[in-house]
Amino acid sequence: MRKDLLLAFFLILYLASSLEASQTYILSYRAQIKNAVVISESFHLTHAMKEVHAHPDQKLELDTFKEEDLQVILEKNRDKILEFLMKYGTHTRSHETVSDNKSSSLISITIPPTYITVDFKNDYAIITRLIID
Amino acid sequence: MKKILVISAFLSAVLMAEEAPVQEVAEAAQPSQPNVIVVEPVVVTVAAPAPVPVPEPAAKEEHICPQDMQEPPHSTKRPDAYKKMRINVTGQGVAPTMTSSPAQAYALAKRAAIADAYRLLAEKVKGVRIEGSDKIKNMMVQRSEVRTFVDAVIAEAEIIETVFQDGLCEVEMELTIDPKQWRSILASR
Repeated sequence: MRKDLLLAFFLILYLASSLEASQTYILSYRAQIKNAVVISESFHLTHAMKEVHAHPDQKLELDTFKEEDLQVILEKNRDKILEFLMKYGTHTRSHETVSDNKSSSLISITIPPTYITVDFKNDYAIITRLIID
Repeated sequence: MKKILVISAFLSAVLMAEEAPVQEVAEAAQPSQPNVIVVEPVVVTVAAPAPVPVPEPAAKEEHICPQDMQEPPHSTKRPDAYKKMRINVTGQGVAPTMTSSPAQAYALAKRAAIADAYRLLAEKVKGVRIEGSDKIKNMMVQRSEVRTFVDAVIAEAEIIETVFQDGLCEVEMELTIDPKQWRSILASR
């Protein structure tokens, strides 16, 4: 009898953990580069304030490094995330001035705010890019 | 019981085998009967088509419509005009002088190199707007300035190689683009 109860309890726990809803976030990035040197960079992650009608697209698996804070995980995997999201469109603006044979350039690259969902599974954070319907 | 069944099946098979050629011969002897259909095995051999005599070109002048210039639907060998175009660029970035660690220097230099590569791709795909001005006073050039602007959204670009040496990071990037799409981008400016 006890064994059955224990089994039922663990089964409920397992189902509850597997049914845990993934969280939706908005991710954005912007960097400014002056004369081939990065002068400013912003990388923001925020909760989606309202429900999004979107369908999932590509996925990316990130190592969590046994961290629980998503900001820390994203910070540690910033290169991977940027490379993943830049593929889907990067806004590039460049102003270059050559004055009296002296050149100066200012480039800004922007990843437009993108909806993502994050699921945690076996020490991996699975990032899914969402496309709005 | 089983033996009887096996023997009867064997005998019926032998009888059917014997009757079959007789029936065929009988059918061959009466070809005029319209109800009998003889199905013969068909052997298909694929051979090179016989040379077709090429008709002489018409005397009147032919006009080629734009529809005729479209890609044939089942051709395996695509003409050069329909092949995807690959654009390769190498962006360069420098690490700032004040960095807390070599890893940060590498990360920032790589970021700058990626941005430079994106700018080069944008220049190639969408083009550059150039403005120039010269200030001349008393028949002498006082100031000469050239300004260039690039503004584009680049998608599907891939990093091929990253090299970091002596504080300089070089990122090679590749963009595959359809020539038709490219022409429409250039036309829409």
